[in-house]
Amino acid sequence: MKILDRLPYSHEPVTLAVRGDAVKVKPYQIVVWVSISVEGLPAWDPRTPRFPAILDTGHNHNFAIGRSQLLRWTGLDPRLLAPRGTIRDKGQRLPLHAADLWLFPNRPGFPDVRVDAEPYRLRVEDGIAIYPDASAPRLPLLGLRALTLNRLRTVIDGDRMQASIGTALPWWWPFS
Amino acid sequence: MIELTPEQRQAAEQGEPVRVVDPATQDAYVLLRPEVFDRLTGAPHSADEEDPFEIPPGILRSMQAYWRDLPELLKSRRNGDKWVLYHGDERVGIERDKVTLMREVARRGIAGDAYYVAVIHDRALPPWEPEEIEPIGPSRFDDYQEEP
Repeated sequence: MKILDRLPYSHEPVTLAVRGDAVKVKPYQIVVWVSISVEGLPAWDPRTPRFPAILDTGHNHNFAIGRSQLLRWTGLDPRLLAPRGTIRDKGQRLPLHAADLWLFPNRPGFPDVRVDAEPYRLRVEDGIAIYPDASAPRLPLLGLRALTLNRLRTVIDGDRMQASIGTALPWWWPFS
Repeated sequence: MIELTPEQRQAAEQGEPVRVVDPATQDAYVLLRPEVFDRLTGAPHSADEEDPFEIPPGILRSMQAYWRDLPELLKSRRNGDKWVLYHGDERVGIERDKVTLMREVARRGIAGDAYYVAVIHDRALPPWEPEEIEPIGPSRFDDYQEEP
């Protein structure tokens, strides 16, 4: 199943509007749209706000977001998300919180979100990292661990400047 | 007024001592977070000064039960990639999807700080052990040193 289908990225900066904030995306950053909800919701709730994150295969955890961004863009107070332990970033202890992370499909070949499809629930069993604002990433980061633990196939096509993410094909699939 | 540089602020946030100088008198001071100061002076902790990152005992116990059982769970290929739910020492269930287990959490009325749900897969560290991750932000290149 395709989640991101030839999502374009740019060699020029782009500005996005997110809940009243103007968010600058730098050249060569792949922007995905995600939502965060409390852990284990039975189904997707379409009222959940979505916001941009950078696909960062250099980030070796699931997902990183600043505390204020979490509050402002999701309306969730970290205290509503159950603790899942900590990680260390240059010695600084940071809390992990249980959450469900949803990845929105794009309109094939375009950056905009597909409005006729539900987002894909990513399992983030060790939780998401919530950074204090002073050391938070400029934009939330979706890391390689989340892609790996969800067995997603990620293809970055540098020739066309597009990224695609899909679920792994079943072992019996005859075409590769 | 003494202002902190971004590096000093970051060091202070990480609990490291920061040396500051009063520009008026040139007197030096060492700035510490209150909890670090209390630790150094042996001041007793009050009940409302808990470690903000401490894992609630109910979750920790559930994590420990998961870690204890993990080698056994990994022996069965049928368990691979499935979710398991622990409530304290009790293994509540193993399911292909997490939502089913979360329904069980709700059905039993288990509090949010009393369970642990995780995927059955090999892992290097116990879930309560803080893992060092690739640093984020401007300090990313601080680890690099010029070769002699």
